[in-house]
Amino acid sequence: MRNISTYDSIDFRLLIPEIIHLETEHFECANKICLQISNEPKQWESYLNSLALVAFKNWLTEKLSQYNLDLEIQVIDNTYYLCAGELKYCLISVEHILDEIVNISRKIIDISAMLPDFYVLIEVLEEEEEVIIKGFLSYGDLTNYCFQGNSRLSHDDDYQIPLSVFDLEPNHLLLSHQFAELAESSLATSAGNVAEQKTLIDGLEKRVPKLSQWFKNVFDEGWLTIDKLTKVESNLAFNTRKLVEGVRRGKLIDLEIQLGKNTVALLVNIIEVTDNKFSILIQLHPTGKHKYLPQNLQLIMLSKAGKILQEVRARAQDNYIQLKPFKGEAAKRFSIEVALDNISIKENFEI
Amino acid sequence: MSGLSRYWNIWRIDPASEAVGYKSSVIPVAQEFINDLNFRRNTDSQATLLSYFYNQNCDVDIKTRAKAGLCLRCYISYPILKVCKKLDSLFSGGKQFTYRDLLPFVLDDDGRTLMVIEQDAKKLFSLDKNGQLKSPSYQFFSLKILQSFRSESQSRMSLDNWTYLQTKQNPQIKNFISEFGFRHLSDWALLNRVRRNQLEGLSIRERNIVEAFHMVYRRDRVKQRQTGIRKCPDPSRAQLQEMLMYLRDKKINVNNNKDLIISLHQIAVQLRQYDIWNSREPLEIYNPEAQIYTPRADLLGASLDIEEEENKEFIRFLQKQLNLILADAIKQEINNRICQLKKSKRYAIFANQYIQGLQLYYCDNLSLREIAPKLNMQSWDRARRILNPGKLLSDVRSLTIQKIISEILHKAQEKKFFIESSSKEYIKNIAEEVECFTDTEVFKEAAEEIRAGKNRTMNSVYAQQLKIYLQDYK
Repeated sequence: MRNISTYDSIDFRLLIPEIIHLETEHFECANKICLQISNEPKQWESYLNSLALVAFKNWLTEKLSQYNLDLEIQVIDNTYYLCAGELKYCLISVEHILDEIVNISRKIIDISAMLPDFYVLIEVLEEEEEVIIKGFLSYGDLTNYCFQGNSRLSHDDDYQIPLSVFDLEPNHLLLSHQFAELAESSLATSAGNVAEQKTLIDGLEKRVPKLSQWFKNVFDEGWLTIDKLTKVESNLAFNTRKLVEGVRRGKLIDLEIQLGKNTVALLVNIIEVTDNKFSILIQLHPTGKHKYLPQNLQLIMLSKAGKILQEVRARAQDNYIQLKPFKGEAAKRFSIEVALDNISIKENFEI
Repeated sequence: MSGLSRYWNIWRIDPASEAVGYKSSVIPVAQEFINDLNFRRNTDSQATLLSYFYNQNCDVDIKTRAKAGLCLRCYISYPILKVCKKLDSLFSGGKQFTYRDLLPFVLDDDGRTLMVIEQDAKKLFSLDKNGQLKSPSYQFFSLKILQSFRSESQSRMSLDNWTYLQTKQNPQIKNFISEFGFRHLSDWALLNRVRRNQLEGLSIRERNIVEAFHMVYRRDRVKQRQTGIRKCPDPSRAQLQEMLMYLRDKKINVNNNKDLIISLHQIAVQLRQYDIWNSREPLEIYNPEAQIYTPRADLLGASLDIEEEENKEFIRFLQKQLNLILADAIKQEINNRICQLKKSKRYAIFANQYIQGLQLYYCDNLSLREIAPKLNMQSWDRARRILNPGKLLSDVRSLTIQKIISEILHKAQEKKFFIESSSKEYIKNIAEEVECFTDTEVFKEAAEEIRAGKNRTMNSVYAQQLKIYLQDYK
């Protein structure tokens, strides 16, 4: 059968969508969580949302039965959320998507009190007593799409997101849980060869630091404040002081990049320019007793797709090198690579 | 098979291929033509073909033009087919058509008749054996697309997307969908789910009537559900009275219940005719990194190409896993389903008949409609909800894929492969690869089989495995 070069993975979903049949139990359950609202359009919306939620909850429970997750429902301002373990899902229920556009209220993206990991698109066929899980978008993908100027805002302050931007394979929602399990199971079985396993798990668990979250005092492990860094590496040369001026919050960094015998520190300064727009400065400094960076040490910035955006190379006596400051919006991704001869280390970032 | 093969493979209706109703066939004339052109890597083969077909360099003979056109017709047959399937899927639920009903309107190219366009794409001619131009006896839809693409060539839209849009707006398809797209929904359900842009198309009076309807009917519908009423019933006398009161407050004059019912039906007629195409999705998406507009990913045919697949070992591994896992997954999901039925309030009594139902469906090739009375299920819908072969397939697929991914990850751990730090992305790539593989090997055919019409036989790999299990079931 594999002779045609035109297969893509949503072909199966076009034929067999992920349908959940609603039964009496679902309606009873939905009625309990449906908000008692007297304003009619809102009440109908809440009713559809609660049907979507009950169906999605059942689906998730069934699919993740092996993980024993705690599922918790939260309703904020008529928006329905489901928390499963570490992950939060925000439900977007619609009655049909014939025009292939999904309207998502700006308020739940921009000023949400809780940031979900995923927005799940659910079609509720009320009369037919069916619910279809159409697809989903991760928080990062959605905000990326909205803030890159792709999305039109309707007069009702909705972002209009094309259906095709969504991941149309609902099973991909389960991957995150599978991923978490894998990391855990590795920990459990690694008693014998801790060191070997650790590399893998480090790789798996290493999260992409979200720079814009730094303003909310959310830091990823391994990133210290400049104060702490100076204690750890008392000789870290702080020629950056002048540059740091004007920085509302310059937060630290310790990458401890082992390049041969050379340890260097990667310093990231982030300034909020406007709402959601940030200016970022990246520098590389020698640490310990070293006064200068190793000659030919390269600092490279790559796009999400791996294209080199800018690079700089240390000369014979550089006590630090830096990339040209650049600006970007929240959720934008990039990577920084530090390379010396044949060794290189890459770190991914998300603004 | 390289990406170029789209230029010599045409998708056509094929009543003989039971499950899907279409197939792709090689057009030797087109293949020879492409081979003779001997495109080098990185040349824009489509631009060359377009320039020949539209006679932009005036130094190609008429036969070359026609052959280039034939290649382009092959190329666009795929997006045409894809749109029909997509429309099928957009109208979810119990709609009364499938993509197979749409194919005859648009997938009508014979892949043989050589044709050219003349006079700035205004006129179309067929080419007879002697190379003479004749007026065509029939105009293929693919040629209409190519004709209009020429006049739109200034726009940024790619040929794939132009085809997508034109097919979606094909007048016959639109008429057909207006008639069959909403037939399964009651007027009241249509009024319930009216959309903002639909409301905007109504008069002020009509809008107020819809509002009154929502006020009363939707409010009660939420409550009615508790008692398990399914199809939206006609509004009661009391409900109509309340709507009239509401309208009176709004200074909208409707005489009595009867007039109100008539008005509501009239509005529903408009909603059924609603032109779903009036707002359409952008077909090309801005890529800020490359600073260009690129076609939407879902419109392109991804080219998974076994010949060019570098990682043969990986494929062998997948094949082995699939064989090991499929039978297990079927067993596990059938047992899950029986457990679920046993727990269900309404369907517990049917749990013991589940296996028999599957046997009738897969071994005796009966439809759900035929099975329902045999198992004392009141209706087709009930049989569909209880037996639900689509859900079983979807669950088996999901479990199979999940298990294969676990195997791959464990294998990676064993071999201490380096897993990138952005490993969620990495796992998603693996998932897509595995989906593509298992769907092509097993699940796509199984899905097509379920969706096929009458006189089908269940012979896919999946059906065979399932039958083995059912026969051994005690």
